[in-house]
Amino acid sequence: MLHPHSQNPMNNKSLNIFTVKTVSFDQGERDPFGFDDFSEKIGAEYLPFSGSVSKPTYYLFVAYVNHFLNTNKSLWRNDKQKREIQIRLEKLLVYCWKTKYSKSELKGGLLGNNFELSEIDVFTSKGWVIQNAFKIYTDRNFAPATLELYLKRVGERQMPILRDFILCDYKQPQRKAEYVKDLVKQLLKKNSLFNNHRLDDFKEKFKKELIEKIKSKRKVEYFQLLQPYFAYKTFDEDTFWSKLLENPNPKIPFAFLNNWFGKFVSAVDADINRKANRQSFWNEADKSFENISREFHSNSKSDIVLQKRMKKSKWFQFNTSENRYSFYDKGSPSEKRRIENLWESYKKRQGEEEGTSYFFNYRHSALLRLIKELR
Amino acid sequence: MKKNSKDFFQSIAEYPHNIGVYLTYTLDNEVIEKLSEVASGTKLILHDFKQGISIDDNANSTIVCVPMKPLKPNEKNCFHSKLALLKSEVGAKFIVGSANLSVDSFATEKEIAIEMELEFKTDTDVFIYNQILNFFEQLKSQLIVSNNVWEQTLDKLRFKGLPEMESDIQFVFNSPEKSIFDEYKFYLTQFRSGQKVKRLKVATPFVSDEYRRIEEVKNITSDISIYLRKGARINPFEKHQFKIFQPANKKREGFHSKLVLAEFNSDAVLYIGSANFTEQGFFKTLDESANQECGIILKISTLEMQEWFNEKLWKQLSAKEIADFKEKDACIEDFDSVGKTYAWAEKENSKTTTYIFNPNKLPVTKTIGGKKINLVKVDTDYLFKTNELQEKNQKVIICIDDTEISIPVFELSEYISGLSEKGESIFYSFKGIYSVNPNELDASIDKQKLSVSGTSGVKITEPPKLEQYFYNVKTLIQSLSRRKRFSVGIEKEIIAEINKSSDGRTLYLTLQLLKGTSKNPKIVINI
Repeated sequence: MLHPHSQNPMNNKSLNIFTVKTVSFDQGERDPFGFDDFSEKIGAEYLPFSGSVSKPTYYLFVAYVNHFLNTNKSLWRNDKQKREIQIRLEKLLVYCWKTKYSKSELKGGLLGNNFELSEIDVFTSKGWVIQNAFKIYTDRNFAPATLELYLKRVGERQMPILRDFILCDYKQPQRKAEYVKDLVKQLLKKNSLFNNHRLDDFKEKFKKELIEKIKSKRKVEYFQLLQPYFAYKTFDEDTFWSKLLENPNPKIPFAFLNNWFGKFVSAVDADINRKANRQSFWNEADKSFENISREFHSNSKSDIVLQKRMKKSKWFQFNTSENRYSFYDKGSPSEKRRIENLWESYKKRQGEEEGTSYFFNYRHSALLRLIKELR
Repeated sequence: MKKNSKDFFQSIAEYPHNIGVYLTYTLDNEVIEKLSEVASGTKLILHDFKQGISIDDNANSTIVCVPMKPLKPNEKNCFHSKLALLKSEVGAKFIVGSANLSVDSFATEKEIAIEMELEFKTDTDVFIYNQILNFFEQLKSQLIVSNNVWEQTLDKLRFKGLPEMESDIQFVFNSPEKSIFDEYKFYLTQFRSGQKVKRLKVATPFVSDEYRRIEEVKNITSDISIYLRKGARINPFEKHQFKIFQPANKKREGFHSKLVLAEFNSDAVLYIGSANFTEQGFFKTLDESANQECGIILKISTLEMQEWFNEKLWKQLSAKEIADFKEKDACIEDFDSVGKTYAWAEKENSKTTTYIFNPNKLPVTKTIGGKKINLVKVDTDYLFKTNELQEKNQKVIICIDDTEISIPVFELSEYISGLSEKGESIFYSFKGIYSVNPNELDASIDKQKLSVSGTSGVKITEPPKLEQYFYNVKTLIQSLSRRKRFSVGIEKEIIAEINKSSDGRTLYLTLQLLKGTSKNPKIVINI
């Protein structure tokens, strides 16, 4: 039966009408032609780790925490709780390092380094940078032998301490402070990850595993380029970049791709600004495109196929008869301004990406930092 | 609506649940990834069959994407519903609105949604949940590939013993016989019989070329305002003397919300959902080849939507502006007639089948430039399948037109067991300091022993260390008894525990369950 005299439904507290907030997908602003995605996937075919962060310690830490979670399943019930524990342990790691080292000693690729010690509340997963160690690694069992060694030396003994840490629920600030002080003391022991942000005690093992991983990823030909840097016979940063990203061997695609991306973007820009000599820009771009070996026109993990005139674009439309790109007219001046600004910053990438003069570095910035830290 | 803005994913994260069912027109891998971060348990995503994607990752087969089509598919219609239904042990939550599971919806579009938690303590809760399940039953005939996934999920969504109720908050969907407009008019008749609608406000990002039932709309009231995107075609409304509004503020520019609001003297009736105010969306029945749509109709106070329709945010077009109006992008509702290629792989009884949505008939091979694979037609000229591709490391590698893709294999049995197990295990139900590790419990019972006495009822004397566990079990039993029955998963788990061994934990749990749930225990225990 109907209830025509029931109360106003909006008095029901569980009911809520809301406008949906904008959400960031941690992908930055997608580039208009899918080159970001393409270059990331190409990078992944050569280097087995994420390009976002490159501290060797984190690879071990992530594996250790995953091991901790798998052997302490009673601590979590779903992905959300699991993630909360991961973040709390990550905060604890940074907390311990910051207790021991000064800011300048920790500089360089350390997550959470902008937080003051007093700002890090290890009792909650809140108040932390969104991009944390558990989001940036593509391979969770990156260095199994290193993990095994760590567990043997110190990791297993630390597990009950960390379990108590996850379970403890002190309310009083005084009690909390005492607990953390004691906890840090227990964790800052020899060989402990919490005591050392440079992976010193496990470097050799890790390096060996990293080399094996890279070797197994791609042709020997590519690895041979890297080998001298791992062997430390010579380490000149400039040659590192030129050997990898300017390599004229057509089997190494980075230089050819970067060259075309840059030329293509310049030509699109000439279209937009209606430059009189725009055709010459396109001639150069098309020539660069022809130089890319066909096997690199697409890759196994991306559905992006490179074409002389990239069709996939949220910002531009391509007029076939005029052979010309122009901004979509979305009707809103603010949207138009936004896209124009994004395009300006996109253009700037050529030459300003990560301090190198390349459009994309295909994870090699991360590799460079890894090698440096493993020296 | 007061000023109220909320993160869709936060809304999902804050409701602990075991099963999530999501309906969407379009979807993106980024959104699926985000959902995986915030949503516990299994995730079943129903999407329009032309808008599918090859998913990147599928941990433990907890995610399944199911392509759907409208009842009578044609070039112009689609599966357009947008809904999230989350089911927990003791209740459910839904979010209905205009947002698809696409990056655009959350990054650039301006969406509106309604969320509600159902605890089944009121007639309204029971009624709405039943309506949603009725909707899900209807969708069975719109699956392109029939397998157990939808049936098994539906089975887990049912709460037994929920009586049929009626309520003035209604979950609505178009059916073979009724359109969303029919449902809206029905609501006005049922709840507002004899009362005159003062004003009808319609917000729609997309419009139709023509409106065959416009006279019926005019019968509701003569005062009709249409809120459109800039550039949207206005001539279908022009000759009917409707007031036309366009965004005057960036807050409403490019809006994607779909709203129909009938205002009375003191309150109003609101439709909020997926249907644009178009022939395909709002006015047609499924038998007339409508989109599949859904939404909520409810009474609200007139203040509730005041902010959204705030006159400062809109500009009414003058008669001259209407006469001089030049169409820009027209905003005519139009859906992809072909769609893009995608693939998925399913494994059942150790047999892997790969499905390929391939409307452009691109060549499909095992390796780039390799021999073409034989494809069997599954649905019209769009969907094909093959058993020729072998799974390796839980992935199937396939080449579609020189592009190699790697797709995770979805294991039906894992998904089905996941429906029961993920986040639901009775031994891991309590977190933090209240958790009791089963092994610690075993050890404690072994050491201190349990003693049981009594013949008519069950009395248990437990060692002091087990107090917390006793409390946990009691709480669990209370929540189970509210649900009228155990879920299949918990039943299975208890039976498995009982059969497994005669350890202390099994005994203790069984005794507590008997004590808490049954006056006449049917299970005989040898102590």
